[in-house]
Amino acid sequence: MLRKTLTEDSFYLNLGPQHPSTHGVLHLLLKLDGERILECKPLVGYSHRAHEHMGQNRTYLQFLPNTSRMDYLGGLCYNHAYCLAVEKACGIEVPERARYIRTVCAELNRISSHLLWFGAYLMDLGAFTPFLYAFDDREDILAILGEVTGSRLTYSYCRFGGVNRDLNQNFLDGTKAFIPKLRKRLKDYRTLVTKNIIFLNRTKGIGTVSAELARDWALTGPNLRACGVAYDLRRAEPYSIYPELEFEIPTATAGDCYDRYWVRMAEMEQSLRIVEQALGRLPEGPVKAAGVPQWIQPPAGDYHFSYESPRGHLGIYFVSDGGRVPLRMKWRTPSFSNLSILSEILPGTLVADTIAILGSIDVVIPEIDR
Amino acid sequence: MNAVVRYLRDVFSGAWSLAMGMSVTLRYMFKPVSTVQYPREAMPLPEVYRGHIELRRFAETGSHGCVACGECFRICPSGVIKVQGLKEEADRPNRAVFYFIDFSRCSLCGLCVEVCPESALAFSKVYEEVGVSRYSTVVDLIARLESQGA
Amino acid sequence: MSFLEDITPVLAQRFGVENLTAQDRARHGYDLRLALDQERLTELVGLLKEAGCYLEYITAVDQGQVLELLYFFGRYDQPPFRLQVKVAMPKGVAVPSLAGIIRAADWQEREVFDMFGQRFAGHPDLRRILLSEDADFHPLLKDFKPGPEHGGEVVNLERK
Repeated sequence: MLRKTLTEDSFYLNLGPQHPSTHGVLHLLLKLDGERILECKPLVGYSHRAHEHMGQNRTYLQFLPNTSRMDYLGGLCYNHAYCLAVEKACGIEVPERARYIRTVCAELNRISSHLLWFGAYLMDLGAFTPFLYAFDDREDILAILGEVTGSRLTYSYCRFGGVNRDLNQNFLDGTKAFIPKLRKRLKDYRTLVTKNIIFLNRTKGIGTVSAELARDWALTGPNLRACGVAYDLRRAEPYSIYPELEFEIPTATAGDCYDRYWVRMAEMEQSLRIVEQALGRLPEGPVKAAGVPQWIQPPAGDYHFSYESPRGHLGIYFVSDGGRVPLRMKWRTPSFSNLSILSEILPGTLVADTIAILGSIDVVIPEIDR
Repeated sequence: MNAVVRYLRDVFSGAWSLAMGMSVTLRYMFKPVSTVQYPREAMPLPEVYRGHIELRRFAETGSHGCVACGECFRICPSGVIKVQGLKEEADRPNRAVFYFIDFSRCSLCGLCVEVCPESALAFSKVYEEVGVSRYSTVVDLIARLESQGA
Repeated sequence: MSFLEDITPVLAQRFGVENLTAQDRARHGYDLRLALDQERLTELVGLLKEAGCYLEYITAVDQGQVLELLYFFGRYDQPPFRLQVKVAMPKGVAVPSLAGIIRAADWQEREVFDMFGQRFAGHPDLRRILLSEDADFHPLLKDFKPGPEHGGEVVNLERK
């Protein structure tokens, strides 16, 4: 179908499915005229693992380990979202301490996700040093989270009605030491990257998305906030303890690669604030609600839950027939919508900018493919 | 004239930003190394590290405490556990005679450890397991416990 | 005055008050459900797009003979607003595509086609998106039984 339109001057380039800067098995079919892109077709699905189908064939608790495997960078956020969704449907009350612990862990996870994005993005743009610093910081978070969850990426830490295990002293000490350390590092990143002339020239004015375009393509998360829309589900549809916390929603105006970068960097500072506040007010008490049945059975009906994952609006929709296994389990993953905008903003840009734009959107391929 | 001034200013501020970035890198040159030379030294594992599961050895009996109730088998999301018990004495609970698990399909979620009523299961801290075929990932935990000696 | 209060009478007047159900947001996560006939879908979506909504996602639920298509619309706004549009019809009937109105619908409709085999009339490029091109099944239909030919061994299905 595409071949018929091929002229003498244009040709096709397959970027991926295995390419170091596609962040996983993403395949971009680019139609090029020299260096300029005429058309882009993102092809996804290479790492499809049928998570929705699995969700419909196992009980609610058994599906929990799957959730952190969809987005391997925000595994705890996905755990948290899934538990909140099921708890809301069943009307399970979560103890105060567990709510704080979950929020602290989810925000740490958000920082680690942004840090990995930061390192990988700069690596895409050709800067190797920030990658090493970012991974050093991320390693700290993984070690801290490993202290309570026992795992580094696929946490399976939240449970219906609370969390698996109480925080220990190592976690508290580690986090307290980590917050000032990362604050100092963020300053270094500003000097090293944000003001760097090469970085600015490669990102300013590249891949501009207007707010109207973002709405048409259902962009959410930092990509949307970079277009000037202050839409954050932690504020718009508050869940857990977010209404009690003070934090800002960083927004930018231009919607280009630089703004998307800036919003994420500012978000890390806000996440640090959240962690600091939540740890400061950490109440005493149980970490798991008593009397939550092992085979949970939400009342018949359909339930939607929205969560602000590191990449945007994570929507969980499930239909229960009153039994142990859901009738339908749908995950609206943010990267799926965020990636589709590539076919709109890539035409007209250069191949080198493709990498800059693709990286700035921050996609996690297993989350798209589910 | 204006264009020339702007051009020179861009060159100067660009060079300055690069010099500032370089100063950060130089500063880190004298900081301690943060990498660990893995095969020769290893990172300490956290107390609650979730490796693959193993049967705990109870000091009182010198053996495992599995009663083959099948809770872990029922809750396992991937269905990788197979356990069979035998009634050795009439007034005592069952005793597991084999406990097979396929590690290649285990997702280390830990639901089996949580659900065990006898607390007979625990996470091991082994993460350097090797095998010659995929069949070597199917392990009888009871035989493994016995081979480890008392 | 919230957007919900604004839009409810408009929807009730144009699409019939009997089709509109208010939902408990604290429990179900959305405010309104609108049961709709598929012919009026494009009209509704045009209205919602004018009103500043975005398409969150499209999904479907297999109810035996009937396939329920569910469209979720939200807004980048506070207080939050979420509308579920429910189009129920027999399997095999094509519904009008929204990809010409809201471009986010492009991939969402492809996913529904991929998973449920639902056809969307007027979609520019209705191909499989997540499964491979040569797949001959729609895995989220209830009569789909995974077997060894779909790759890998299937465990646990009898254990419900």
